[in-house]
Amino acid sequence: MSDLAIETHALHKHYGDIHAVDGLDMNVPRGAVYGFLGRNGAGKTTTIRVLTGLARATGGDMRVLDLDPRTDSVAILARTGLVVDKMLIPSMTGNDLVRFNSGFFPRWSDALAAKYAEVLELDMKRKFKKLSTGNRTKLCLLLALSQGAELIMLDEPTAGLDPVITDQLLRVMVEDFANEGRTLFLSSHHLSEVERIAEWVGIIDHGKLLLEGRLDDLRASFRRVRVVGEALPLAAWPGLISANTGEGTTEYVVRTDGDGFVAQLASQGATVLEVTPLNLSEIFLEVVGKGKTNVPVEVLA
Amino acid sequence: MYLWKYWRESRITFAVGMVLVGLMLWAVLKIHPGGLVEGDRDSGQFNPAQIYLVVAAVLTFPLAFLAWQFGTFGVGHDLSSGSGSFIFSRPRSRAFLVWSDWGYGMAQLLLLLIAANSVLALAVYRSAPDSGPILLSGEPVSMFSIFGLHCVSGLLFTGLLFGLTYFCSVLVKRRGLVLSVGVVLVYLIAKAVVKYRWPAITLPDLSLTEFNMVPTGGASFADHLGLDIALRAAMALAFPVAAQMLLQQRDVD
Repeated sequence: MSDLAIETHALHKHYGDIHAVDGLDMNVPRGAVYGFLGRNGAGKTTTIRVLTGLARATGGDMRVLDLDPRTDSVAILARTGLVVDKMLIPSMTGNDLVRFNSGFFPRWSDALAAKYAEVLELDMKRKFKKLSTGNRTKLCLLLALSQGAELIMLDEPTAGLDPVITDQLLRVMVEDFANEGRTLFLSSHHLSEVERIAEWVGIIDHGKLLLEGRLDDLRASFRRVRVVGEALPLAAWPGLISANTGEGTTEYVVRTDGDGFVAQLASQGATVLEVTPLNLSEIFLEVVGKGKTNVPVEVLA
Repeated sequence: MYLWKYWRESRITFAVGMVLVGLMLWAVLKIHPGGLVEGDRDSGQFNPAQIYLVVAAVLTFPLAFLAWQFGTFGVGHDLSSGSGSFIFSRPRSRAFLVWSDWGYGMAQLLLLLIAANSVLALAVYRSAPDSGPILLSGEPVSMFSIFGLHCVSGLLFTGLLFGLTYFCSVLVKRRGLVLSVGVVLVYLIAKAVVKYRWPAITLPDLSLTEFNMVPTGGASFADHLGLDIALRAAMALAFPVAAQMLLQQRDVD
């Protein structure tokens, strides 16, 4: 059995000229809480669809729970809790959907379903079509979380949820899944939520994975360095992501070896004003290159 | 559990269909001016084949309506209502979903046909319980054979419309029923045009012709009946097969 719950190599999914997933290399360790981050349209949802067999890959290799979604999607789905569109059968109530869904999954837990209904404050007697957007999302999550899956894949799970419910949801996800050795893969652009529970993150943009690694390692390695002076000859530094100048100072963001970088600057006569670590939000903005001078980064091992 | 969903979707239509078929059957048997089931078998006026043809013609409309409606349920309905991703992410193959829908829909149609034909057979039997087998071109044929043939005929007709609508619902999602009705109308118009322009060519009817009616008022089984049934069965099955292949090739969105 592989140590990876999900692995992709050069995965492609094209819709005509649009390369929704464009050579994705991703490794999700078993038992991890993995935050799959990206802007709107970055390719997160398409990736999840391809990995679960809802969409067909255009090219590349992939394994989910040691199985190939192209040929074994039914076996993968039997072991995976999935929330992707947040649209269930409109005419069914929550209780109907629990009854319907439980028949597909031998490890389904009615006790868990009842627990989530209480935690998420769901009216299970109301028809799905009459639920608010937030309550629809909650019901989708309830179904995915109650089926006893080894792998949970959630696409924007907290979209439409209020902060209280979001907080409760994140807490139960950690309690019930992260501590149980099951893999939780959640795509999101709500970085603070991901930062709260994820151990691993992958950042996707334009269908490519720009960065992947343990969150703690990323926090430890990314540094913002502000120095006095402009146009220092450091553009070729291997871990340099961006360099922005203005008002007599230059601000660098480096991915690795911040201390070495600072020493190099000092040896060139630069005055280092400050060296600060980056949080996930700042790392994300740097990696996806929000309009600043950007140097493509490699995927961390 | 999946069939439970189809049953939930189709149960009202099924109940309405039962009532509709029952009412039309009652109307034919009671109100038809010829008194179809009250003819005199010994005098040659009693013609069960004709009775079945009349009943078949009358029941065509409610059965076609039901077949078209049943075709819109199942995965086509899920795709049009936006719940396709949910259904297709349950751990069942797409072939399983298609053939479960199709099997359940056909079972409902068969139940309706058996109920309608049972009532008809009972009515015919009650009109002349001691008259022995029915004669077709001088050959005795059991009521059970005609009953079975009529159920098969109805099943092939409704199966064709049901399968066509099911396929169209998978193909175009929201307008499957409209497309299916359109295809049937275009075929009927094409059939009429071909008959008018080239009288020697006759495109097949949508429903099976079970009997050859002869000028003397008698009847016999239609020519090449077995082949006709086999070809129509293949045609009816082609649509769910096509729906399955389409779904297996297509992304769910």
